[in-house]
Amino acid sequence: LKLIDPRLREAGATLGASPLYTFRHIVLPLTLPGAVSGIAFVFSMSVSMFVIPSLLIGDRFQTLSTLTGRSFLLMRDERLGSTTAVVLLFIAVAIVLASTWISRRLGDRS
Amino acid sequence: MTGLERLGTWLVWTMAALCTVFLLTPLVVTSVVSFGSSAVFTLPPPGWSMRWYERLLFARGLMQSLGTSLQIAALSTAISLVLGTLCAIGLVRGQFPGRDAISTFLVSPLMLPGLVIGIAMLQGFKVMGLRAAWPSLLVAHVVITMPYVLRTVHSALSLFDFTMLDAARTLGCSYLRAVWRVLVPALAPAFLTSGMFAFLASMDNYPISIFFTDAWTKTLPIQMLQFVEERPDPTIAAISTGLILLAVLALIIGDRLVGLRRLADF
Repeated sequence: LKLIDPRLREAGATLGASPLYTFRHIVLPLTLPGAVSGIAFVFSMSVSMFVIPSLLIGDRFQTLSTLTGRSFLLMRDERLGSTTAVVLLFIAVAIVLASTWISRRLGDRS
Repeated sequence: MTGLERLGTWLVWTMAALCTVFLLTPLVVTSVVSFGSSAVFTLPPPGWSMRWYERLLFARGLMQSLGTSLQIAALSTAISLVLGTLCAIGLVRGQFPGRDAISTFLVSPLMLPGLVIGIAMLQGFKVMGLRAAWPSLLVAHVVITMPYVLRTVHSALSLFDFTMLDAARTLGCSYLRAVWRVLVPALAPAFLTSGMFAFLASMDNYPISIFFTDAWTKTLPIQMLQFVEERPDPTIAAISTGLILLAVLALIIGDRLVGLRRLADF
């Protein structure tokens, strides 16, 4: 948002655009790539959270990362743990690659 | 100001206030409970006491794990600062194929799930025959703290004009002296912010450390979670309050030296 030239919004206003129209057609397209990488960052942070889920929900539910941790630390089942770790790694890498691709496309278009 | 803009401003402020309250409440509750006299988490506390802080000193393993954590954090931050800066210089100055790939790879521990890195290093160390807890903890923490240094110093270096080094040398500085008098001061804010974040990240790390601890070598977060499972009393709130203070202190120092705005940009 900081990198957007404020003159763009002023130009929109002098050309008769309402604030909502300026937001929809100028601010939003320019910030969308940043929003996409933000979304990807939050997603990969929360998909890999381990400490907070295991403190909050204990044994009642399992997320992929608590299952991974548990299978190594408690069940001593390295095969299960390694498999879920690879799935987790795959998700994380896929998110990063997809978000890079999408924000590049969005950046090109605007 | 139009009505719409006023509504927008009002909405933004309300949201920001609610977010702040939501983020601060757990911290405030923890600090209040740590000064309470009750052995269970009750609010408001029936009376005030410092007994949980006294108990900190005698709680089994807690001070020892604090020592381990501080050592690991300080040493891994120092190593990361050196290695990360060297890598950043190489990546900014060098012209070689695969530069972006290497830089992405080195920063990737920031984006990858901690558990996955922990498991991968656990099995890697096993293959290499590294079994001792302390050195493996140190290596693992260097891997996770170096991205902070690399990222920050990299962006600081891309703004640095390397011809200044040549200028210093034509004015009679030796190469080392030029680096020390010109390059290091230019990078000092980057060193400070990234060192601080690296230190805190190492102090706070759980999902990677958990794979490299044994009965004698435990970092603070590991010991704290074990403590919560064994006997959840406000001793844990006391140590948490200490850690919150450490973070606040780091922020204040960072603000004094480089400014909060630049810290937030990081």
